[in-house]
Amino acid sequence: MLRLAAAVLTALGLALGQQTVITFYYPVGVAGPLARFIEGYVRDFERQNPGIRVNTVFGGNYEENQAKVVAAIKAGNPPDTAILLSQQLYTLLSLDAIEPFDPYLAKDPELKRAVQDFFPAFMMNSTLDGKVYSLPFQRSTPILYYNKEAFREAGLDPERPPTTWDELVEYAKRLTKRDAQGRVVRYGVAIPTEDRSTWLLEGLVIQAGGLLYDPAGRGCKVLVDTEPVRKAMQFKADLARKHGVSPEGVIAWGTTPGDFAAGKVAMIYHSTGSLGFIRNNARFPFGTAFQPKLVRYGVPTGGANFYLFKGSDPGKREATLRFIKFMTSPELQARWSIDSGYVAARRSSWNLPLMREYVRQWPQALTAREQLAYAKAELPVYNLQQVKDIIAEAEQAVVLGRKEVREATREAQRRVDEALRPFCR
Amino acid sequence: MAWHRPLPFLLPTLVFLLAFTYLPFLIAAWQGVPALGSLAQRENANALRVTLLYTLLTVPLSVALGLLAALAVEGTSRLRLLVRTLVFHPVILPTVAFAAVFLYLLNPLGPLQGVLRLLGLQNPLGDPLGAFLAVVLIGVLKDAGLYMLYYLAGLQALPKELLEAARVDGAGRVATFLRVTLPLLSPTTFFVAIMATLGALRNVDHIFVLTKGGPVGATDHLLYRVYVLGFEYFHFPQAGALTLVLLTALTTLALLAMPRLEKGVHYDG
Repeated sequence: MLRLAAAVLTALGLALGQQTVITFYYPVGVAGPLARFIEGYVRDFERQNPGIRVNTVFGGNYEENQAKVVAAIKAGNPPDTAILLSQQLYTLLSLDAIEPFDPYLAKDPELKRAVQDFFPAFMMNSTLDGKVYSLPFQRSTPILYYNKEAFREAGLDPERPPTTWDELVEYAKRLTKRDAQGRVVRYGVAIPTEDRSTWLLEGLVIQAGGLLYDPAGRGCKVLVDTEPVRKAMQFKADLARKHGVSPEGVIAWGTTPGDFAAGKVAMIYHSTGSLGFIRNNARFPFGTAFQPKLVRYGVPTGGANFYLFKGSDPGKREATLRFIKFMTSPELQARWSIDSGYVAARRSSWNLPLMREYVRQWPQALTAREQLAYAKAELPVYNLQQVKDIIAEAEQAVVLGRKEVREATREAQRRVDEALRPFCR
Repeated sequence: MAWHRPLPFLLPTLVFLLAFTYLPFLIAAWQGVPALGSLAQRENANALRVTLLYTLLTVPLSVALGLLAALAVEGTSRLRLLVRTLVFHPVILPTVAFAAVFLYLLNPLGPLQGVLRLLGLQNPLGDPLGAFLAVVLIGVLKDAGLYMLYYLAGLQALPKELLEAARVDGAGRVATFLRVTLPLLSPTTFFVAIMATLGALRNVDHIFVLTKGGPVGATDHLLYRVYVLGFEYFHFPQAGALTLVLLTALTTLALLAMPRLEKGVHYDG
């Protein structure tokens, strides 16, 4: 009894006196028990830093987590750090909620080294006017997953995935399997039309030789009414409506990895962050590959970064930076990559024995890293979610055959420009 | 009893309601006033249309299903108890969990593939009409069990003499139901219809799980739109303005409907 009382008192003392408590919001954007991994890393950090307690808040998916963080900011109680989409930079700046890392980079060589060690592609969404506003944590690119068993069954070489859009269609036709009544039992390919996102569309646009925004546009110039965007939307629509190799209608993002793992779709476009889930659930050999090209390879980077929030006192800021350095260290990034499938964002992670062994066993993990050489920044724009919704709705209308592609992109361009006007005078 | 006597007893609840419901609501609505002019957008008009259609479909369907279920399972045989449990089960499930089951069932390659194909809906959640019907279906199934309970209570309270009198007078089952049971149940129906209307305008959890308002806005319920405007676009004034409109519409509806509906209601004693 006395011992218990003493323990309680010590804990209280620690909580009141010696411990710095920092608040950390994080999302989970793909299938699998990722929240458990993150909580585990946080506990490891606390063991190594007994003076710091991290108050973790699991915020749901990316959008929900963003909503919770903004609500906390509006309520005058901002977190010390949070993992938010790297492309939220402009929205967070317009809320006047974040601070750059630069003052600490000058003082802290370890942090400086980290910034130089991240893959440059993953820093593209982090920097503006020479300042670093966020550090990569759960970063990804979309890749092509394919079922090698289905390839063999269809007489295709399982070591030779499709490399062009035409090949993708041709393979998908051979991979689509019907039963005696003509019902599809396995589709050739599924490219989700994410409910509220433009990520996969962006990849197709890059592959068609374009880009969804003007890189010099400072978050204000989105390019929807262009030929590459029209080609990308039409390609998606044709997969089901013209070629019959994909489920008709809008394909859900969330259930697609499960459908692939269950053998119901032979090829899917999805985040490399789903690699962990697919590895654990697919009962057939599968491969990963670059997304096929029309005129060039290319995908947007994706995923989320650590931000620093205004209103954190110096003691907490120091603890926060220590926490961020831990979470973005080469060792932890390697562990996180192995646990989840996200790309270890530090180049030096890939030289660690742990990572070498993993890659030897699962060479599928290399695809996303190598694809980084062809990656572009993900749509960086003010008023992000509304802009995404407008473009996604246009894309859905084309995929559903409700609008002719030229009309859809023209209308979306007008609406996007309107949505950006209040932010971009 | 003096009018102020109950006040001290209401006070604790009132304080919390004021602090966490009424006051934040008033602030949000107040902030919304200047943004009222910006509401005339295609998305909002669409959401209004979706909400009206959703309410017009779910209310009669869930009330009718509740009544039918109550008539079917009145009594205490084992089979009836089983059916009663089945119909009631969705009520005790969290809406999110219930909707997540349908996410699996309505998958284009899921277990209902054959049935869906017969209905011409290969990928219901990926199709505007299919997604809307799925959301309606779940709204109806989720609440019908609760309405069944109200109707069961209503049926048990029916005066047996009137039913017997009807039988003695030679009324058939259909006539008895239409001329005696149904009018006697009118207080229950009135109550259930109001509950269902409020539910249709307030419960949008399944839209979050199943469709997120899509595809192409087909399930963009007004309340879901308020959430999107406020917590995804962070256009708080517009969200407040839309809330204000929603509230005004609801209040007007209630004021208009109450006296008219009540006229047709039979109250016992």
